[in-house]
Order: sequence, then structure tokens, then C-alpha cells
Amino acid sequence: MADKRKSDAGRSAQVPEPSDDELVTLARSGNEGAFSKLYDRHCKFVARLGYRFFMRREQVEEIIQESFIKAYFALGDYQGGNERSFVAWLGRISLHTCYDELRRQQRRSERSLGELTEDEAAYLHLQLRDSSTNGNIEGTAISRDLANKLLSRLKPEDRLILTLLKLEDLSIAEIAGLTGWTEAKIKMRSHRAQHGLRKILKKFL
Amino acid sequence: MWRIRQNRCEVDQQKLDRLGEKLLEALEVNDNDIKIAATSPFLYRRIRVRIESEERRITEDFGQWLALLNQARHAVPLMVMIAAIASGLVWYTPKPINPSSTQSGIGVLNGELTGLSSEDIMASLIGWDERKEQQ
Repeated sequence: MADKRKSDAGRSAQVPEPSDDELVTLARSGNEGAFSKLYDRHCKFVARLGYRFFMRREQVEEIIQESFIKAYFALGDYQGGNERSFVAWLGRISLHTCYDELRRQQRRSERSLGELTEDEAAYLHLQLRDSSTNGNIEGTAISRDLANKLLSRLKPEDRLILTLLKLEDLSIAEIAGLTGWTEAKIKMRSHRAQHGLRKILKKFL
Repeated sequence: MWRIRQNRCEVDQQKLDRLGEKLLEALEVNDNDIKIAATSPFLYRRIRVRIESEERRITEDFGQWLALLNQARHAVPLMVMIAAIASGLVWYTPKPINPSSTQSGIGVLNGELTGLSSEDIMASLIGWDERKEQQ
């Protein structure tokens, strides 16, 4: 009995995990389990991306939900190919979902979300003044909430490009591939985004 | 003096850029938060429900189109018959001799009845006046 169990375990260890492309093929043919597996594999990746732009857990869950629904209905367009192509494809969908949500927020004029409380403004001013006198910006402590409030004052496309450039360390060409924008537009936008960010911070200096 | 001001401006810009980067770094989220969001209960279930409802909607839309096409398919012979009758009526209806008689009531109101010109009407009026004087 023990031998049989051992041989079963050995056999299951030998069975390789299906690749993303194989799972996509199965999901296309209506295999619910295959899509569920794709979700399990890449859910954290989408959540990480969502947290780059949104603070609240519910918002990130919404991004995960929308991204996977869009991905499900776009499975027919997925071409497959190299090892990481499904991740790249899903990343593109998730990024567009985040961008759409950022734009929706701006349209709903959720500016109030970007409003700093008096305490926060005073704290930021103090931190900036201290760091400018000491020359030690690295020691400045900025909370996630405060960072999010300040960055929400940027235009959605500016924020998107800054995040991809600085946080994800992507090249201009890679961002162009992800967003579908031209490299010239991305260069121009990144320049404007930097300028916009400086302008926002200068107010507190 | 100008150079000093320019240098200070550059230093300020560098500081602001470094601070901007710190601001973006502050958005880094720990793995635990990511895990909590990703493993949120019923999240996958919610996705499945949305997918199913969307699929149902698409199927219903498609069904409506099919029903419409089916109705149109049934309506085609009827429409062909009506068109044939209408064209037959147009073909076999005798043409009016006086084209002005087919004119609408608007023509009557405008004094265009039976093709009389304004000169004819004036002449007949004058003739009527003369006849009255003679009497």
C-alpha cells in the first residue's frame, strides 16, 4: 500500500505542470479549471500592479476582477509564444484596466482624495525643509497614503509612465509595447510628468 | 550672481527629483498585502459569476438577433407580394387625361384649377362687367 502511494507520488511528481499556453488552449475550449489555474498563477502579479496605482484593497480587488474578466473574453486574441508572453499579455490588460480606472477617478473629479490634511501638509513641509537644510532627502519618511495623495494630482498617463519608468524600471521601448503609445509620446509624457511632480513638491518646499 | 542662482535652481531640481523618486518608492507594497488582496475570499467566484452573466447576456443578444433574422426571413415573401401588388397597381391604373386634374388641393387653392391663367380670369371678369353694363 505504502509502495503504491509512493509510486503514485513519484508519478505525479514526474507530470510536468502545464504551461500557460497549454492552459490558455484548454480555457479556450471551455475548461474552467484551466482558467482557474491561470488565475491562481498570476493573481498576485495583477494585485502587485494594482497596488502601484491604488491604495485600498477593494480597488485592487476590482482591478484583479476586471483584468481577469477582460482576459477571459480576450483569450481568443492571445497568440502565445515564448515563456513569459502570457504574463506580458495579462500585464498589458491589467495596465490598461488600471489606466481606465485612474481616468474614471479623475473624471469623477475625485480630487478630494488628493487633498492633504493640514497635518500632512505641515509634516511634508517640515520634512522637506529639514531635508533641504541637511541635504538628506533619503531620510525623509513618506507614508504610502501621503505618496498616493500627492501622486493622484498628476494626470493618469503621467502617473502611469512615471510608475513604469521609475518603479518597474522599464525602458521607453518596453513601455511603448505595454501601452501601445509611441516612444516619442512616452518621452514627452515622462518629461512632463517629471516637471509636474516637481511642481507639486515645490509647493511644500 | 546669475550663476549662483542657476546652480541653486539645479540643486533644488535634483532634490525634488530625488524626493519624487522617494514618493514613488513609498508606493511599494509588501508581499503580505498583495497576498491578502489576491487570496481574498470569493474573488474568483465573483469573477466566474461576472463571466457567466456576461456570457448569458451575449447569448441573449445573439438570440435576439437570430429571432429578428428569423422574423425577417418570414417577412420577406410577404414583402415581395406587397411590392408585386403595388407595382401591378401602378402598371395597370389608367393614366389621367388632364395632368392638372391629378394635382392636389394645393393647386386648387393657388388658382391653378383646370389650367386657367390669371389673364383668362381677368378677361372673363371684364367680359362679365361689360355684359352687365349692356344689360
